Amino acid sequence: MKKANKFVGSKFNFIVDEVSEKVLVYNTFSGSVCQLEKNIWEMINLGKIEETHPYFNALKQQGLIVPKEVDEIEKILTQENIAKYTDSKKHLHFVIAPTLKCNLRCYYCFEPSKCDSLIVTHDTLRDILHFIESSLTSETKTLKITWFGGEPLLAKDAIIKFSEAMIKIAEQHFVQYASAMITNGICLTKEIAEILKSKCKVKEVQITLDGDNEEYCKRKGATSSIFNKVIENIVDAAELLRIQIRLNCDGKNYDSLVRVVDELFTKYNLSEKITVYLAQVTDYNGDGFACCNSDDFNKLVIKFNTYLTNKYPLYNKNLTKKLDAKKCYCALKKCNNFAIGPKGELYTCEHDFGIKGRIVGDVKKGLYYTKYHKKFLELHLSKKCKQCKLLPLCLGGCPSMRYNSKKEACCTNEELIKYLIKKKINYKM
Amino acid sequence: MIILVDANEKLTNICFNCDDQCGDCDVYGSEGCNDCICYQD
Repeated sequence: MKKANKFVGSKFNFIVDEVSEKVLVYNTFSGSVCQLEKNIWEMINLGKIEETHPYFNALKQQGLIVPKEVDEIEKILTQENIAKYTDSKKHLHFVIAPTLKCNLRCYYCFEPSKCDSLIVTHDTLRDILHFIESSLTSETKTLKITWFGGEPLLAKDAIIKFSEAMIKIAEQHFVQYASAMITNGICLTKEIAEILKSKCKVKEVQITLDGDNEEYCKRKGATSSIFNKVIENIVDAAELLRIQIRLNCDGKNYDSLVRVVDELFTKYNLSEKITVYLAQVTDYNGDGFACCNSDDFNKLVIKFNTYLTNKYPLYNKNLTKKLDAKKCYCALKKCNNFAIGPKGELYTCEHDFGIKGRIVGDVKKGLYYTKYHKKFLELHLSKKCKQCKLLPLCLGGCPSMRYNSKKEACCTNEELIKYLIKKKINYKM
Repeated sequence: MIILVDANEKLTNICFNCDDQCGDCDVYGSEGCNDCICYQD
C-alpha cells in the first residue's frame, strides 16, 4: 500500500504571476516569495513533494508545503486569539477622545455627536489616568496613546495635562511611552506642534485632506481660508513631527486628491518629509452614503502609487498595504486596549465614539461585560474569508465594520497584492 | 526554485526593533509599522 504524503500545499500559496514554465508564488502567511518551475508547483498542489525530494526542506521552510494534519485556518485564528488575549498586555494602546466637538462637518463622519461641546473634565482625566495605570503590568513594555476626537486640539489643555502626568507614570513603571494624534490640522500651529512634541511625546500626526481647496471645502463644510491654514500648518509641522496625510477617497475626488498632493510635493517641496496615502471613505455604520467598492478603490491605490513613483522618484513611502501576515487586525481588537470617550466611557473601536449602545464599560467601574463586547471579541469569519488566500493579510477586515454594518470588510484584493509584490521585489520573469 | 523573499524576511518596512507586530498599522492606514512606538527615525 502506498504511503500517504505527509505534506500538502499551503492554502495560502498565492500565484502572483505565471509565465511559460515558471510560477511566482507568494505565501501570504509565511511572507515567502518564490519562483518555481511549473512541474514543482503541480507536485505541491498534488501533495507529491516527499521528504526525499531535493526541494522538500526549502519548500517546508518557506511555508509553501505544510503538514497534512495542520488546519491553517485554525492556526491563524489561534494565533489571533493569543494576540488578543494572551499577549495583550505587552503593548498597551488607548485611543482617547478628549472631546467629540469638531470644527468641521465631514459628510462621511461616523460620529453622531459632532455638536457635543463636552470637553473631558479634570476628574475624568484623573480617572482615565488611574484606569490606564491599573492596566500596566510587569510585562508591559510600551504604552501608546492616540489622540482622537471630534477634533482633539479643541481640548489641547487637557491633552497637555494628561500627557505630562501619564509620561511620569510610565517612567515609574519603566514603560516606554509614545503618542500619536489624528487631527484635522486647523489648530496645529507651529507653537502647538512644538508643545505636542516636547511635552506630550507626540511623534506622529495624521491629517486628512479630501482634495484641493474647492473639494476640501465642499466635503468638509470648510472655507477656503481654513484649507489654506491647514496647508500652512502641515508645512510647519512637517519640520517637527512625522506627518501622514490621509487622502479620503470615494472615487469621485481622485483627481482632486492628486492635485493637492502635487501642491504639497511641488509647491512646498514636502515629498521627502511627509507620507501620503489613499484611504477609502467607509460607511462604518450602514448610513447609506455613496462610496466606491473595495475593488474599485484598490485599483485607484495602484493608479495612485504608480503616479507617485513615476512623478516623484525620491518619494519612497507609498506602500500603503501591509504584506506581512497580521497577528491581530488592529490594536483595539486586543482585549486590554480601548477607545476612551470624553466622559470616560470605554469602547472597542474609535468608530464607536458617541454611540451609546456600543459602550462596553467606563474608566471608574471597569467593564460591563455587555453582549455587544462579547460578540465583538468572538466575531466569526465568513465562509468567503475562510476560503480566501489573502486571509492572513487582513484577517477578515475591520471587525467593527463587519459587526455593525453587517457587510464584508475586505481591505485588500488580489490585483493590489500582485502589484505590491512585483513592485517590492522589482520582479521580472 | 528561487527564493526571492525568504519567509523570515519582512516584506514591508515594518519596525525591526519590535518583534511583536502591534497590529496598529492599519488603524492609521500607514505604511508598515513605522508608526510603531519603537520606531526610530
